[in-house]
Amino acid sequence: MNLALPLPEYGVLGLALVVLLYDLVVPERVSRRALGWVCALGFAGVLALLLRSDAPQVAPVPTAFGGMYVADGLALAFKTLIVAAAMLASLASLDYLEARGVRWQGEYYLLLTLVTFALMCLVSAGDLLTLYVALELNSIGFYALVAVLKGRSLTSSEAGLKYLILGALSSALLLYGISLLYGLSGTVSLAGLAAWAAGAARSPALVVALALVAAGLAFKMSLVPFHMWAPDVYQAAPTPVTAFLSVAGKTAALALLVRVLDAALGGFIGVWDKLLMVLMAATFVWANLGALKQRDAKRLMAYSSVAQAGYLAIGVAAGSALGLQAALFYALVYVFTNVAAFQVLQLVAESGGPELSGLRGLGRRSPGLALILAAAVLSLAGIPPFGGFFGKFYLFAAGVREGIVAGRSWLLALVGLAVVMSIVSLFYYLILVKQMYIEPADPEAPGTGGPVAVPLGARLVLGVCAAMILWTGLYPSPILAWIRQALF
Amino acid sequence: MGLREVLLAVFAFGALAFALAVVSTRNTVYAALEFVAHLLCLAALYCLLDAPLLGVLQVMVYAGAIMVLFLFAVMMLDIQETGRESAFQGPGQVAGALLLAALLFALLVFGADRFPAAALAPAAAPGAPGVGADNVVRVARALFERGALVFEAVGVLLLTAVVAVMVMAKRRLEN
Amino acid sequence: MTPAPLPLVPPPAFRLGAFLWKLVLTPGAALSGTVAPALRAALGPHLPPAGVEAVLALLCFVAMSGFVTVTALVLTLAERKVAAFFQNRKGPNRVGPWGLLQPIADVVKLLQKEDTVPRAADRPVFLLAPFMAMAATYMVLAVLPFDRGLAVTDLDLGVLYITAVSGLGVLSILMAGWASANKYSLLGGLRSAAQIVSYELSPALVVLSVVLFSGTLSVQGIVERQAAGWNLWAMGPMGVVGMLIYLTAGTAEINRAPFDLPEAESELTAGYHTEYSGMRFSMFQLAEFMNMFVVAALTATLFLGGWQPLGPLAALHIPGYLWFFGKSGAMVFVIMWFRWTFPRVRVDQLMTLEWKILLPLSFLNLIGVALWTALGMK
Repeated sequence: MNLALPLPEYGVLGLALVVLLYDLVVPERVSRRALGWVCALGFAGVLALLLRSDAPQVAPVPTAFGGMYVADGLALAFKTLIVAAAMLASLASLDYLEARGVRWQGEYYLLLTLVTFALMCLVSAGDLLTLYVALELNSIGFYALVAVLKGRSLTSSEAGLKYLILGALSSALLLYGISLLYGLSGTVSLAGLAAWAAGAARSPALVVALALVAAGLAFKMSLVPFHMWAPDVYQAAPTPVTAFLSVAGKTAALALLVRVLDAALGGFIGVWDKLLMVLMAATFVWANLGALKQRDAKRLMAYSSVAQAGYLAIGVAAGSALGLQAALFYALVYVFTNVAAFQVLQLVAESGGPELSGLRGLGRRSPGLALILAAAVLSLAGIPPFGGFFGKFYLFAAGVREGIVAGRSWLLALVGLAVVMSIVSLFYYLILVKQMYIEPADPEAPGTGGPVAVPLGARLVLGVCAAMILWTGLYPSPILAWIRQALF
Repeated sequence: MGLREVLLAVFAFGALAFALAVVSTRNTVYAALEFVAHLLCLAALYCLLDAPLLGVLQVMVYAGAIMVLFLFAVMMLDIQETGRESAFQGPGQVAGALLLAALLFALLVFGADRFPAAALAPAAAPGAPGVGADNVVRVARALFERGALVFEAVGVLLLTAVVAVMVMAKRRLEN
Repeated sequence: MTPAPLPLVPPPAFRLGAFLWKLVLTPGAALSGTVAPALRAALGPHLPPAGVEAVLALLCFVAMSGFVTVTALVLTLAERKVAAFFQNRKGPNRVGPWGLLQPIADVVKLLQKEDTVPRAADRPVFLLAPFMAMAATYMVLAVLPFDRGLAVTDLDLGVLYITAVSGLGVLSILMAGWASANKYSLLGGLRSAAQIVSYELSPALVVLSVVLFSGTLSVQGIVERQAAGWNLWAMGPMGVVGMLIYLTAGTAEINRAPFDLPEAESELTAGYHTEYSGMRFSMFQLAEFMNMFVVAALTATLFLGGWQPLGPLAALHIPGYLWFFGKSGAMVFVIMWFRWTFPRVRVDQLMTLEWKILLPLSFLNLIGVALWTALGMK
């Protein structure tokens, strides 16, 4: 057994211990702001470690703990995204928490690291047990992170509670599905399940098990109708947490879908792809139409990210290598794009409030910020020359290809719906742009006078994200090569 | 039918009866006590099914610690009867609950029918000597060899939960 | 060619005498080796196997009830005599020679008392609580090793079982406190729950360290492993620390002074059993005295070699149960000594002691024992 295999996880756990000890040792009156830098540096170190390690190029992939931990290229790639998101989230949190005088800063950064650890274990899960424990760990951490503004904002507590109750329900569904799967197959190992699925007969119990597992995972992915927590939670949570939840939580859920449905239960693709496609169709329609009538910027972005989860799932539904690569590329673009958008909205909300109208006149007040937000939302809508265009293009192409090659006409129809709804989404993304550049600023409104202050942490976040949005859009081939190598 | 089967039936029906009592009792303290009884029945079932370690841990953790804290909270808050009305409001809810229960039961029966024999076979011959001690060794091997990472992750999970509860529940002490 | 030896059959009176002598010297071997097979053989043809086991279980129950009664009587008297000794008084001295019959008189008095149930009380729970207390105590007694082979049963998971079922006793206290519909009772019950749940941790860790050192979970097994040397010194410094932790936390777990906050008479009248009288009250008393004996006996078993003789004294061939009761009695005396020496602690001191001192210390102790065992010091 190779105990050194989960080195990145150990690194993040070590970081958690550092945070814990710092919080214990440093006197209470000293601000915990420095912890944000500690976390960012720690995550940067782990990120460097991940980027330096090569994805295994030969089967069998290295595993540890009797196959309960898998260190394949998929895990490596998704971990890179998650740790990058965690780094950006710690940078974004620095001044956000300080400005609000949040008392639980030590705990906040601790939870952030522990959640990152959970997500890393999640994408490396080689076993339904690892998967479930990691999923619970990440959920519990997020419940508290969402409610960390408790006492300052009632909606934060409300969102935490709502998330907790619905999350517990979805965990129960998933666990019930897992227990049925175990009963049917006699194994909880994903590799064992894959071997079993290759030759097992279908039964009503199997359909129920798959439906329950898919529902549990769809909750984490926030696919309609398991999305009802998302708008409230995204709106009320501290903005850095929202950004982290929307990107890291979602990419990890994507990795889970790939691992559980595509890899382990690929033999039953004929059963679960119908379930998944119904969820996705509902997601495209509901989320994109729902976003149109939102007045709160974060709520609008919540609906947008529900819709984005639907696009990501196309790669899973296709079930092909191409689809997987496309999904990973899109996830990468999505991480930086969404973090950029939330970061700008966070800065603007400090002065202009959470409403969409707070963005008015941003194009004149802070042209840089406005430009980045515009680039981010256009990328999300899939407009060239930004990364989102290629992401969507690859995803749709993978779906169409798989639909034609494998003769799955439902998949073709689904991609068609996705294209149409993607055009609808342009509508609400452009509302944001219109607010910034066309709507006249209200001279009476508070905080709309001068340029928006951008602290150092936010500058770093925005710089990294803007660079990535442009890089993925203008010169994606090195990134595609990295993805291909990871998923060989 | 040996003693074992008789006891299995007794404790299985006991567990069911107490579980029903838990959800139908209005008095919260009674419900908690009935839940303890239910857990003890489950522990007895585990012991009869050659998983004595699980049974003992069930008593230690659930009946001895968790339910005590639960009773503590219930008694301290002095939660009395939770309203006069029945737990189920209207025939629709009763019918829905029964339907769902029937569905789950059918799923269990038909699903278990398809479970491979390996998943249902006992881990060791029933009543074999040393099953108890062997049980501990096997559980320990499973926990600390294959499951070491998950075990540690559960430890981290508990830490997270403790910190999360502190963040959510602790009031600010103003100097 | 040698003649076949004649079958030598000793006369029945001699056989009975030999058996009784064996019963005195090694009751475990006599009971489990002679009596139990004889009973099984006698009952076998008339009853199904389950019935035979039920009869044996019933006999064990009767025997344990006798043991509980006698022990409780002895302990009530001992408690008062020890108290008198510490306070330089004579103690009970009117009933019987040196007051030896005082506990009998107490029992008669208690039995005569009216059995009252307060009108506001929650009747079923109120009536059930004393039985719960007794049941939890009996369950622990089932695995107590009085001598080699002399225990109701020897479970593979013995010490885990003890830790588990001794945690059930607190339920009876909570039930009694709540059902009495009396604020003192309720406060006593709640205090007790907080105290017992806290003080379950460090004894469990100490037991774990003993298990780690002995390599077995069976109580008899742990005693057998102490043939070469008692755990008190075989475990190195960790043995002494472990025993001190176990004795302290055990005293707190049974709500005895100086940790008797649940029934602190100056604050709570009599705590959770304020409203109980007569038989029901005496059942709580019985359970409390037995719990004290159980803690003392477990300390003796885990650290002082249980029924094992002390090194060179093995040559004296003193029966094992005498060693067991001698060591347990010494521990009982220590626990009573605590009571008359230390003033009662405050709630915050109580919690500080467990969570900030005993618990970290038990963890360190466990690590120490693990190293000690890994280094092959056993």
